[in-house]
Amino acid sequence: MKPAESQFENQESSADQRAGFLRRYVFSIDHKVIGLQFLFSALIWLLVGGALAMAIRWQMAWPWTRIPIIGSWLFQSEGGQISPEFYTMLFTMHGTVMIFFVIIPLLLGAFGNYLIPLMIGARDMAFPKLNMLSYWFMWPAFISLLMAFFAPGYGPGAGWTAYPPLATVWEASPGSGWAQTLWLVSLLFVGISSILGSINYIATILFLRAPGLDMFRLPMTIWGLLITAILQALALPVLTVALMMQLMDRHLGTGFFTPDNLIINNFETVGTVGQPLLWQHLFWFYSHPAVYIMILPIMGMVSDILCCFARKPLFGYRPMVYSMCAIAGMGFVVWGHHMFVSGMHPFMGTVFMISTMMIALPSSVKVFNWLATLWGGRIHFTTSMLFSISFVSMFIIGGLSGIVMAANSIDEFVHDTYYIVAHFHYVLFGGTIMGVFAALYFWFPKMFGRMLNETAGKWHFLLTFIFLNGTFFPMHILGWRGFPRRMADPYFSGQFLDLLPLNRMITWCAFAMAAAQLIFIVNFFYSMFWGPRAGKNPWHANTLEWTVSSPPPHDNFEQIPTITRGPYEYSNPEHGEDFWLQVDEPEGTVENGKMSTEDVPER
Amino acid sequence: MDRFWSLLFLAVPVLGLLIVLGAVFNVGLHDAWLPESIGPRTKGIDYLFNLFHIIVAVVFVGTGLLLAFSLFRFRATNRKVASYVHKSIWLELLWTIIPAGTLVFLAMHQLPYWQANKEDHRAFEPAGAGSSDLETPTVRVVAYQFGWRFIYPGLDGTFDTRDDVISENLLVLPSHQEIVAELRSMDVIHSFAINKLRLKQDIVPGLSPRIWFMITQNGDWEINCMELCGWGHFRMSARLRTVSPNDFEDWLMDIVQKRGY
Repeated sequence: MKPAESQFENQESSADQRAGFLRRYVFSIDHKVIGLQFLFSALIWLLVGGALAMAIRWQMAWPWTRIPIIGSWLFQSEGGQISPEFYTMLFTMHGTVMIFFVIIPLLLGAFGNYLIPLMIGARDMAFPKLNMLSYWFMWPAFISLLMAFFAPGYGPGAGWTAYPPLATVWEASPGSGWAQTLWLVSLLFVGISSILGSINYIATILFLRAPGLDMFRLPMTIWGLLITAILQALALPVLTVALMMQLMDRHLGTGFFTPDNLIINNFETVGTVGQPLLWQHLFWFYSHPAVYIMILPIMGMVSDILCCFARKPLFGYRPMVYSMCAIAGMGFVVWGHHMFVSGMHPFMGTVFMISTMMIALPSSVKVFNWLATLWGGRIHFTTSMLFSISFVSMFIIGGLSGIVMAANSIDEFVHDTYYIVAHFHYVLFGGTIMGVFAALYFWFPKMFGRMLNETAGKWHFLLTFIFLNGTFFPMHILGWRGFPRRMADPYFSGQFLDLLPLNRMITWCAFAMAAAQLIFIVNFFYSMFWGPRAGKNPWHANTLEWTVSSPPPHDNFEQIPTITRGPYEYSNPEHGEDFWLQVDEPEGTVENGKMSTEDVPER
Repeated sequence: MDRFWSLLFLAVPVLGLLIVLGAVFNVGLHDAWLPESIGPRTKGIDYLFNLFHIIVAVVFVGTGLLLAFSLFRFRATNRKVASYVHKSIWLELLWTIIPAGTLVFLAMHQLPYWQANKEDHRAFEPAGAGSSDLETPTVRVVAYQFGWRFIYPGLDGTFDTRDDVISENLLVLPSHQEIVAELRSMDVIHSFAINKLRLKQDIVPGLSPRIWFMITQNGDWEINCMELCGWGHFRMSARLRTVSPNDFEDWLMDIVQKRGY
């Protein structure tokens, strides 16, 4: 499947050429530019989050030892070693950055923005200015989170879950001062940005579809993004309100979450009759759907990529859509499984255990449908495909460990241990981030008009895949022993000293995995400028974005296409080729019954 | 190259299974599967832990092998054309009903264990009775940043009296007796956890959850705080010492007499 060369790249519509640099690339209302802005911002934050993870791994492998080279510069007062309060900041910020600044902006901001109008045959989003706002609302968030790093006490240290009273009482920990306030402000802006974005996505998908593109002809990517946007629109207001309440507890003297008569670090709380469990309920009411926000779009994209490189229709399109809806719906009634041992009434634990068990059902239906999609295909092992297959493989592991911990009796044992850490990293790294790589390798040619290098891509995949498993699979072993998470020195009590060698192995794998990403960074920037030209449809895929030039012109489509078939007509025996675009191309591009992949100049 | 990639994905279920088996049967991996057990409380939890892992391992290996086999069998270098198949209602029914049945079975099967460990009369007042009808706990646990205080009711058997016995970071308990403990926090959320009993209970300030357990061995064990409680979270551990009931009485009497009550 060699990409065809195209002679007519970089055609920009005249309107775009007239606009100044600032309007075109900075304050643009073009969904593609906004998508790329989200993409680059999120990739930069991915580096930050990754660096924080490396520091966590350093402390787990060589606790309280000097960090070579950068240690003496970072921690002059502690003799170059990580201090306990710095460690609490590390995992707090690692979680916050990866969830709110990397995964959600990547999936919805970058891929959502870039792909939705192109895949549904629209010229832009329904509300382009709202779209621009949703990106620029991220900047106050970026700035206040950066400020939080430099606030007194090294930065927020209450975990990304920010449980009160640790997070609400200023005296409770070094990071519970201004750092925590800045953290809350930052997340408020992220929340507003996402609410604006999600309204836009819902409106666009529901009202701007090209003629003939009914709901059951949408690619799974769009289904994933639509359902995710609905989840965000329903769940995020709750988080936003909860963040406001915590801010008011901290600054206006309210007492939503802080109980009376606590003596915390010589400070006594007086006159507040709050309930910490209320925060946990509100927080997880958002943050459990957020887990699905972080995986549903990738499930959609991986479905599309698997079909494209297996040259086979998606198996069970409607069950796939229905199971996504089921995951989204049930995702709202399982949040309590984060609180099995929190002290809420144990009968609630039983209820949430049953709902959590049952949410595994739609996920397993999806896995079986992916396996059936591959079965009988003609599988091309491109880099994008390898990342997609690894998504399925890793998601199986993450999903199955989820069933184990859904049992509340077992959860009592593994709660807050590395079993949980292994589980959500298999879902969020093995699943989502591997899926993001698949999507980047797949849509990079559309975004930049050039192909990524496949050899470098396969090395990147191979090393990431091996070291990802080397990093996260042994964490199950730590969990089987009850090794605690979020501790600056889990070996302190002596119980887990024998797990130190295993932790060192994990750390080496994590370092190697981080190093392997250098291949991707080099490949990304080299190919952006010097890669081979991609042409319209390098992968011979079916969906609408592959009918326009790469990168697409300002308003995407010369004229709005009319859709004549579903997105998965691969290897249809009625058609000469093994792919069949969703739209019948105008005269002149069909030569001898075969689809040309070359651009046709209109002017 | 296509074969190499199929083998790579074959390695996932194979190596994964080997690691799990190695841990369970103590081959190559020592002390990797479940810490030792010191009380009858762990019996049900360990049974569920093993049962769930067996079921999950079957699915993991089955789907992993299926995935690797389809990658190998249907690689592009081995096939001229892909089959044009959209759906199969029978397959969908098959892989909906079987997992659904399994999940319902697992959910129902584990209900009694949770009820026995967390949800019975020792935690809640009996219907129609006041909270004073709850039995007096053996010990009251007070968590604070970053340590544990254990309060015994003393000779009079009631708390908040002058002869309460207080012990810091050392919990002495009689073995072979059921212990009911009341948990409290002075400041932030902590979590009372004994790894070798698979016991964990968060302590939200303002609530006073109860736990109950029995330890059938004499010796020294560890209590850890398992909920992030600030910069010193990692060092918030206490010693749990179980002695014979007679020795426990002696220990308590000793402290009471030394204080001259």
